[in-house]
Amino acid sequence: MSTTDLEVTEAVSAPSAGESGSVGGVYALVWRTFKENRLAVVSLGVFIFFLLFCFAGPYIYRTNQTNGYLAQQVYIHGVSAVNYPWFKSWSLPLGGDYSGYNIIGRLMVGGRTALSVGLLAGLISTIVGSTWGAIAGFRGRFTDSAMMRFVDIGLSVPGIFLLIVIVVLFGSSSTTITLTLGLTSWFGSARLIRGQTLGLKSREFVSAVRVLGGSNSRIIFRHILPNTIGTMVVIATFAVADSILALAGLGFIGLGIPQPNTDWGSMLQNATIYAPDGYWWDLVPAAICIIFVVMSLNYMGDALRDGFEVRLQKR
Amino acid sequence: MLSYLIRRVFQGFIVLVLVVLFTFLLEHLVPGGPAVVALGHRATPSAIKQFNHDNGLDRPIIIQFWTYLVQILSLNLGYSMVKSASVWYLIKSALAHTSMLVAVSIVFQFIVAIPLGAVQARRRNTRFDYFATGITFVLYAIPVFLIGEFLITFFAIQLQWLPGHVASTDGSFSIFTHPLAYVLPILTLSLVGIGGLSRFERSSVVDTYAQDYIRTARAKGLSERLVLRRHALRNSILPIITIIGLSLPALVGGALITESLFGIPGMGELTLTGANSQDMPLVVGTTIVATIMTIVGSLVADLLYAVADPRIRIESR
Repeated sequence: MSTTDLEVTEAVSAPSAGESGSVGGVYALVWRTFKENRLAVVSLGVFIFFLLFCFAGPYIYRTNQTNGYLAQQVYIHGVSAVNYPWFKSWSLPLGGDYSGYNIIGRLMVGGRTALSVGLLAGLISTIVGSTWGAIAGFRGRFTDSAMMRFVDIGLSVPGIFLLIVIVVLFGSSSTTITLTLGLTSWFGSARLIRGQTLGLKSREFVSAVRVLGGSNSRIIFRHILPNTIGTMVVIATFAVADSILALAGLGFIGLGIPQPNTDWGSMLQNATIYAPDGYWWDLVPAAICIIFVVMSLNYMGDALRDGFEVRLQKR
Repeated sequence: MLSYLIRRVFQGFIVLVLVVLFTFLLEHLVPGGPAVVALGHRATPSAIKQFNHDNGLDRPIIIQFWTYLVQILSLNLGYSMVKSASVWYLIKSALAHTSMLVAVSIVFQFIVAIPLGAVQARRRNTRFDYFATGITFVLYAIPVFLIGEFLITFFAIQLQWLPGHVASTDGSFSIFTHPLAYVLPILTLSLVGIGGLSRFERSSVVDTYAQDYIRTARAKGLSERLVLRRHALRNSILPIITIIGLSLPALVGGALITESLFGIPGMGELTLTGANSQDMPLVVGTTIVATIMTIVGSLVADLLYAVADPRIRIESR
């Protein structure tokens, strides 16, 4: 094995059920450490805010996101003044974009894609990676080395190129992008879970299941994987952040979700195209959304990692 | 050492074959297969049949893959309809730009992140440490294109100190003829990496400080500066080499976005031209060459690791 897993395996350690009381106790302890981290709590708040903003927001603040308002009669510095922020008594609080969409409404639509693609892709990535790693670690020997070689391969291909190939071949719908992001980003998590499985499979409770006649798949799915839940939660948090970033990158190079739908990356790309024409207010909002969501996820991931680590220390 | 090298080259070769297999399968997974990819969705059935026959696509799939593989390994990557040139010819001229960008960025990351992380570790939990941690964490969370966009707005448009977009049509354009044009792209590509690397270097030095040989070095009366430079720093650099090798795919991907931002005529720019005009041979070609780049890069990183760490050399002899 290469030296790569040293970075995170030591940081994330599995809670081992059956040793420190009920499962509820474990999560209570993790939550207590999480709560002590003020940054993480703020991040949780920020993340929940964005979820509400994007998914519940459109029902409260209704905007027309199918037809842009293009009645451009008044011009300020060559830009249609209707789209200017604060023009006409706050009807467009953040302004409108180049095709007359209300930017706040646009952020909601874009965020809905960004968050749902990110969450789903992160989920797929975590599930595939964990299962792959647990099976590889549990089977050992030839299966293990074959499966882990495959992981090495996955880790050495620049993901964005594959993403572009697939988008060009199959078109950029949110389904395609979600599946591709999820199925090309699980390699790192497979390594982590494999490392933990190696430690877990020699434990007494695994032998106990085997003695009781439990099958291999039962051991893997009912006993080993639930014991790596701490690592999986942390992995999932970072995977969601990475997927949101990747989607934003894809949108920024012009291969994001096509009109009339959008995502934050595509919004940013459009903004950079029209900013030289005077649409300066269009640049900031999407950028802020991306940074805030990604940073909040990163901080939460860090706090969760600490939480599960502390759990181990107090045992 | 030699057997290690041979094994690694062989592994890299396997990776390459599998990536080729992957792109091959992808092209066949598209409804209609490669004929539709090449001719477009409105191709007539007879045209598709003719195309399939001309290109041997009516033969067994194993034989098709073998011809495809041999073609690609002999760098015959096909012909780009959009650019009216052979794909390898296009990539050859773009490769220098991308590899230069990535290489200089790695060196720059090394120069900045290692001293920063080491000083942070030595003065850990001081105000300087917290400040630097905050900045690196923010850098780590900001995507490449936002950093680039910010640098362009600030240094190229507001202050007008540095060029934001280079003249990519100039044939003689390179880092040597236009060094200033490369400043912002390199900064863009490096800043994200510096965030991650310096955090890693910090924890690595902190770990090293807890080792027995550091206590020995202090006990024999070395100054704190010498302890840091001779013992702690040298040992903490080892994992950094591995990390850089591992971050190569991300770096090459970041280079793609950086190039498109600044208009550097590298592989990323080429890929995007291909993607926007549905030029499949071009996109597949750049993907394969980018993979080769990362494979070669991580091979070099592993060899450097062996050079830097005498223990590895002795073990693998």
